[in-house]
Amino acid sequence: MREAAFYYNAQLLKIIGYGIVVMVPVWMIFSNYSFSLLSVDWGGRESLVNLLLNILLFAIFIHPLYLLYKRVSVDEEMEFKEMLKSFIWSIGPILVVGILVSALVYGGIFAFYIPGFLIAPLLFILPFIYQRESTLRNWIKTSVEFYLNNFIQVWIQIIFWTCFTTLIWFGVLYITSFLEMNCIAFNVTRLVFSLVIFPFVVFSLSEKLLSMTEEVEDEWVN
Amino acid sequence: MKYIQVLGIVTVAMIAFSFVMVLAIPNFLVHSTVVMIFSYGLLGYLTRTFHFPYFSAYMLACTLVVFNTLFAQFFYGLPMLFEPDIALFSFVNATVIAIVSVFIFRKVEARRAHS
Repeated sequence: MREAAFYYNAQLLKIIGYGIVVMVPVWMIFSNYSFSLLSVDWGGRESLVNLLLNILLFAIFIHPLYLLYKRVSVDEEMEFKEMLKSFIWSIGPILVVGILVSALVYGGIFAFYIPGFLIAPLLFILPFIYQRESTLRNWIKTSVEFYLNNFIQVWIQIIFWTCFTTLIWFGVLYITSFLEMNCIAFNVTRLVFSLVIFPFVVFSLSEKLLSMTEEVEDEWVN
Repeated sequence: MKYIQVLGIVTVAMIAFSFVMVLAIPNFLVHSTVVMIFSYGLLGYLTRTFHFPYFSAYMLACTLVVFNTLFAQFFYGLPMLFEPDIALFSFVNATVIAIVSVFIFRKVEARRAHS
């Protein structure tokens, strides 16, 4: 986590640029669907769809930040154009497979919750494992294998970062409580919050992931 | 994987372009025509170097039209799925624009390589 904070500090300009150039417009466009889901009455199911849509909105942005951390941690430079290019080439597969996985989660939630919760972490693992040249089958296979091999660690990370962001979010809401919170102000606050916090979470997760995969490679070598 | 990547790029470009063009073009029909030409032209441009360029452009255009129709029918409640005229013309226009754009971009590439 300390290394992640160091590299986050070093690459702050690129991260903020990525946030303003990519994350804000994509967020603005896709949150229209989230808003219009508020006016739909599907008998209570629309809130679950809205939750999955919001998770997908974060999963889209992970891959370029992970690539940035991967390059920076071995003292290589990464241009901003490459980040944009990797975002453009990763959005399709992550959206399609993410929609399929979230359909599985949606079905699993109605099968007494537990299968849905078990499938849901794949949404976070898939963008980290994604590579542009690998095939679809290899990608899904390696991510499922990674999830099965590191089941406990994945859940520990998810619970830890959920608690972390929730605590900070409580603080932010407490600070901004003098504002009159309507839907748009709430979403703008959440956007600014996630522009700052989300890259740091991705950086520390990728630090964790890289250390875990290195250990596995060392075992293979030995 | 390549097909899904192209599909994602074209879908996102279509959504973003149509949102931006709503501000520029007030006429609904002109707007949808411009968006259609842009997005399926982009599809043709991206699939021009594939192993089967015309076939993949045709199938990806069909997939996009099916997605759009399903979305309009079940998300916005527009009656598009069971109207034969709308289905026919959306499929015909989309596939024709995609295939023609593949043809044009391949010609341009060949001419550029030749000269």
